[in-house]
Amino acid sequence: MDRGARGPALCGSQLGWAFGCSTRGASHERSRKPCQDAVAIWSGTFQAEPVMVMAVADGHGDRRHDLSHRGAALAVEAAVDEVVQTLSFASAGEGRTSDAPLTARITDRWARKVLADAAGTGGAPEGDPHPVLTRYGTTLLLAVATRERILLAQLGDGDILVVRPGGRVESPLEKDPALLGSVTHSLSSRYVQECWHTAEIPGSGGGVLLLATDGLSDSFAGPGEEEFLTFARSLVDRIREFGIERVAGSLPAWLESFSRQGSGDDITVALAWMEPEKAGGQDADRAGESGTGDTGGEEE
Amino acid sequence: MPNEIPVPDGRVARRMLHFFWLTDHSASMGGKKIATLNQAIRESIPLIKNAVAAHPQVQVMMRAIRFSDDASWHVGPDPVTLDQFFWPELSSDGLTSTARAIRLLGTELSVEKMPRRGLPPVCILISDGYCTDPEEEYTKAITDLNRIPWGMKAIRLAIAIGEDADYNEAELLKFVNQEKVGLLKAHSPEDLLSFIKWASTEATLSSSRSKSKDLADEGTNVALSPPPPSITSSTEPF
Repeated sequence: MDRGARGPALCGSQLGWAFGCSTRGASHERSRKPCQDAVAIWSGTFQAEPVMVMAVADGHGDRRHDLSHRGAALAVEAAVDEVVQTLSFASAGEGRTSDAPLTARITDRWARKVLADAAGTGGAPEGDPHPVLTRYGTTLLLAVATRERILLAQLGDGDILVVRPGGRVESPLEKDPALLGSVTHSLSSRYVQECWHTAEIPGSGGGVLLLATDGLSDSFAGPGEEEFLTFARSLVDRIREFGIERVAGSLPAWLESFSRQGSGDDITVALAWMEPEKAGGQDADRAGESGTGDTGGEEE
Repeated sequence: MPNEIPVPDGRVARRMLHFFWLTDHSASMGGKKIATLNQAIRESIPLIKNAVAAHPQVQVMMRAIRFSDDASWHVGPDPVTLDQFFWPELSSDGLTSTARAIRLLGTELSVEKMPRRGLPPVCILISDGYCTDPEEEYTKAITDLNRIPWGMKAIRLAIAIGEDADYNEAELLKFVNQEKVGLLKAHSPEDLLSFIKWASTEATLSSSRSKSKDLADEGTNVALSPPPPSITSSTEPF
């Protein structure tokens, strides 16, 4: 087992390349608040199989969630830790420590991290932990990619897209109609386990897997998603033309300008450039046929 | 040094805040009432601009519905930016079709017409009388508005003009969804001027400041505090 590499810097594996970055929102700069988003990327191998894990989180920012920037950082950490530990146990033939679904185990791990964090600052609760968890409230988006498949999980707002090599954009997780305006689901919710959305799509076919906090899509003209999807397709064109390394270098400045001219919110992106031959080698269109939530786009 | 990579395509835009005036121009609004209303809305525009200047990520889009015998667009149906907004003089005549005005508002607050991730709309209803549409029509208009997601999440305020006996307080309160504010009662031109300015700027600011929060803990989308007592002192009544 390879322990893997962590961090938002550009990292490569047999699956392709992954990169992530966060930019503090223009409105948070003006009000001197910290960036409340977080991103984590892990790349490694288990039993000679390459695995990439990407997580982004968006702390809520409302008064009741005054430590949500910490909550977001702990959320991406908990997600990556839980996935890596699960894979470690599996590759060692030890099975899991719990029969609960991955999303429930991530939620529990996050809550433990939050309570430990609160205890470190003297804010640990004696009874109901919910008031403390609320202060750390955050969303969480997760992707676990292998050659065979990509597992996706989403709690709250934000976007997960796959842009196939032909330009077709897939949104494997449907938008939650309950999320209107500024409200979102939260890791701190008492009903958190009912709020997770998950999907599994083929890893074959390659393309770009994009996870982003809502500050990105909110920066594009609406009311529909067309302008945001145009951005996603165009981003893939830039990667193809200029290479992932140069795009990764340019992305922070682009996100900053989107926030300044658009939503004003923090923006965080994690993206994986999965080359078809490395990600399974099947035809992109065939891979797309079995996906869900296809949002259109031109075919090659 | 390699050439810079062109920014990816996709039109970037600020977050929309849709603002709706619903103004009564029935015959009873004649004289000082309509004159003050026209003046107050005009004077409130630069105040709203100043208020949102601290929130450059917000683009306020304004519309106005007028109602007397019927309800129709005074400014709209296409929303205009604050910079382009001009308040055409409103004259008084006819009855008080408040229900029709609320129904017209409801058609514009549908999720198909509003951005899903937009800011809570602001809706300010101003009236001096009893709704002359049948009672069941008014009740239905309010019920329908409360069923539309953006109707529920909008900041809805109402300003009543004149003596308490002149208007139907219970009816106007059904439109309001800001418990701490309640019905704003303008007994004098000074009150009306102050309330229109306060309501329009405070509601716009509160909507602009709204942050993400947990859906499970959420009550109303945005809650305003009551107006400061100083602006409710009246001088000469209508």
